[in-house]
Amino acid sequence: MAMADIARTAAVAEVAAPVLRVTDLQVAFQTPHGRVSAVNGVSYEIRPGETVGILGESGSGKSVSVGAIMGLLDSPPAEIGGHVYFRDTDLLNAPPAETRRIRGDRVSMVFQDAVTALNPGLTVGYQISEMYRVHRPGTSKRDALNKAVALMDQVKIPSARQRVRSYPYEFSGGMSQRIMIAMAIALAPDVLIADEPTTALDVTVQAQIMQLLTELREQTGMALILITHDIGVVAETADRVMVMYGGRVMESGPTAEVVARPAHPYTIGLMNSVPRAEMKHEKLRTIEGAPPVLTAMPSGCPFHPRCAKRQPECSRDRPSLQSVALGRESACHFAAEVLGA
Amino acid sequence: MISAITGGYFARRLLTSIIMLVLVMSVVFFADRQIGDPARMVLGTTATEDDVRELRERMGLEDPMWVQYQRFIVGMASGDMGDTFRYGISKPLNHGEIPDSRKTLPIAMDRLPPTLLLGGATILFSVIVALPLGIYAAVRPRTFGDRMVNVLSLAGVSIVEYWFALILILLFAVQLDWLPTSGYGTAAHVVLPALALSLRPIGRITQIARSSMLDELAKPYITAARGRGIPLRKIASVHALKNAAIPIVTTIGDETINVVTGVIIIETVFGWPGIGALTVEALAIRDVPLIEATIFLLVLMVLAINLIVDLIYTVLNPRVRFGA
Repeated sequence: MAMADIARTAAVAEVAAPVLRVTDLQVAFQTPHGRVSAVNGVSYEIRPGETVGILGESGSGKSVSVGAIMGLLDSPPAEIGGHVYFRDTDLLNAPPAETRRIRGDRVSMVFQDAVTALNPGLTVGYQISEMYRVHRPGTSKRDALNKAVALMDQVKIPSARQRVRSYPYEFSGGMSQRIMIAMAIALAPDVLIADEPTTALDVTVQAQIMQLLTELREQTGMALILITHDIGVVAETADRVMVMYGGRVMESGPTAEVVARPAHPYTIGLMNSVPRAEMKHEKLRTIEGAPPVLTAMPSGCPFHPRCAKRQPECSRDRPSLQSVALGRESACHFAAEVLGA
Repeated sequence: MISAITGGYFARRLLTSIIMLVLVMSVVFFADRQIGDPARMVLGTTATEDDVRELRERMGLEDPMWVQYQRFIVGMASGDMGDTFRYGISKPLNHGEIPDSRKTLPIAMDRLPPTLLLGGATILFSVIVALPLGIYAAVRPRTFGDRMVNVLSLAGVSIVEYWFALILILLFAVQLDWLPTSGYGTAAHVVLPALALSLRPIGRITQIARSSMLDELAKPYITAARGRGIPLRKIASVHALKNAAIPIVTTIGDETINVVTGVIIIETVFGWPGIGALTVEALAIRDVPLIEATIFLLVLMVLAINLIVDLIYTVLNPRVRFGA
């Protein structure tokens, strides 16, 4: 299975040009306590049909990085640098009128908490059909509503024809997330960003939503960026993974390889803190300490205060992201040793 | 099913309105019998006690209080609130026009259309001005435009309206001679009183529209809508406004009620032949049945406005239909 994944990733990589290229993304915020940096030099690209997982704890900058891509950060206070190319358009620097047409249409997003991300005052039918009315001017109200019903069927909402006139509060959390997904895939986007799409849901519903997203990606050939703190979800669905910590990329590479042989102590820590069925009487292992606050970022490697393998230089020199194997990078001074261990 | 629940809700609201009406009118009934002797007012200080008592008897004021009260309640229910004291006794009311009837309720109803015209024009104008101002300020907070809107709306709620009315008359009627100082009949006549009355509603509605739009624009569903590429104009005017509407509608309702009470002064200032001016006339001559009829209609208007506001709530917030 792992080999098949690697083979598929390689095949995809050879065939298609990237649909989204993020280069040296920087996000900082002006706060009363000074300027704080939330995302620092994040680069990646994604090709059609590919799934990239962005893995990290809260505060790692994973959500902020996609907020910048989707134009959701107000500046001020946000200061955004770098480039995000969708095909040939730089989403960070192109005129707002141009990027607005791409957002929701070619690049769309599913939010963490669907219940608050849906407008409580408008019917779900209106909100889904609005995608066509806004991005496909000339679509009649009736056409758009019929398409909304079809989409609700596609995301497996029972009796869609009746429920199209319902308000969000009449739906469960899982059903609300399906409606968010319906809106996001309405115009068959090239890139779908899912920001913790299952965090607010019950475990059984989580699996259904992940399965739905995977199916939709397979049907449409869209690229999927999956943001999560759950390494299990990444392992199951993502072709490639990017591990973030303190606004920086700690490690990246094909998921199967990263999970099999992590190249960064933080990744090891994340994997060890996953509860397993066989560890009945063992205490759940966690990473000591807490993620850094943005206003007090540690010197050197941002992870060094919590790192089991830290050496004196870790607090002095910040390790840069280096290639450690084919298609794999790690930002650890001792990546080679970690990988070899 | 929804309409059945809504129907029950409105039956309850209607019942409370009727109870409110009876309570308010009862206060009016007892109060207006304490503001001086209407018979003495008619006959003057030189009349004998016997003459005054005889007139009081004819006015029904010598009957026991509970008999008068019973007559009053039955009168409201049957739509016959008695005869005016003054008409037929001395000069007719209504600016020299002879009313068809001595019945107070028809006399008061005759004065309703001018008041509805003035009140309607005032509220319509206020909403047309205030809503865009409030939304404009909310979508660009802390900018120069926002601050200007803040200053203007604060001025609107702070300036006393009858003073403002006099300034308007001085400027536009006396100095510039663009508009008539007072009276009724043409479109030009409605401009100054409506302007004077709309000052406060414009200020209040702008303030509430701005603050409730600001609240809504900060919510996650707005961020999500931006992520879907929905134009800012549509986000503000559809997505945020739909949810900000309830406090705005409440304020429009409150201000409409304020206009209903405000007409009492403004109609007198501008010689506007509405129900407010008639109320003042009736009070001045202690015409008890006429006072009761005019106030009855004013209270009825206030209660109707509240009911309409409630009705709009159910349209705006789907959850109200199911709740209590």
